[in-house]
Amino acid sequence: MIPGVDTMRDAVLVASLRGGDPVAFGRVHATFGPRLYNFLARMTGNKERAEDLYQETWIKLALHASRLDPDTDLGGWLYTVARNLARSERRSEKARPATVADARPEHALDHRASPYDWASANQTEALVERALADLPGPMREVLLLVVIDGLELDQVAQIVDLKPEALRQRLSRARAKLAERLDELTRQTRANVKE
Amino acid sequence: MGRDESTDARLDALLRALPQRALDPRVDARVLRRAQAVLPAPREGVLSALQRFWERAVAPVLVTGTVATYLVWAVQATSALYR
Repeated sequence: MIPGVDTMRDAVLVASLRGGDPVAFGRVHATFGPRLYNFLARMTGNKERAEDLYQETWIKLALHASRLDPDTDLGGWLYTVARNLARSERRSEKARPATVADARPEHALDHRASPYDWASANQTEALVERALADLPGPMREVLLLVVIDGLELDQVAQIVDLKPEALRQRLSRARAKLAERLDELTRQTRANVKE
Repeated sequence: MGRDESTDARLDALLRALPQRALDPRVDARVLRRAQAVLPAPREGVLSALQRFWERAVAPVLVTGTVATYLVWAVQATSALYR
């Protein structure tokens, strides 16, 4: 269950969506839109691509609305579509040559920035952002879904198509990797400031 | 994995403190419009279909029938008075 979304309301919204009700569609968009965009922005690390995938997710819901099962978990459905789109994007990303812009995730702080830049930016936040962006996609997605979006483990297991136990392991590895990367970045930052 | 729970809790707190990436409201509104445009046309509910049938067929027939019956009765009653 997505925090702030109750099952009863979900059922009513699904029934209305199945009937093609644009007002219900607007409500679903208002409820899940900000969280979905946040998820996609951090999965892609690129504003334009996140916007494209965000639009594609909503178009898919509109096209599929009349065929939704009455007991559809809307949040889970939307996150699954968004996650699969981001995953396909990641695969095609690997297939094409990287550019300078791709190498630096949006908002991530360059670790060679000047001490002045470090002083003016919120350093911890920037480091966490950078460490998260540096994680492999499968690890980043579970941290985003479980920790940032606060979804339940069972629901996330369905979204990422893993057994709950395998998800717990991935989550644990993701936290360990994040801590490791955060330590590395902190050490690099201190060394740069001393220089 | 045997990791320290307090370390995990600290990491989680750092992640939750990250600012939400927000979409430009104009872009969001455009996305909504585009998606709503491909939404299938709304299906009429049973109740509204019945209501429409009542308003457009049953009620006019009832009113017309009642008025016609009354007029026929009125003409017959009046003519009976002069017979």
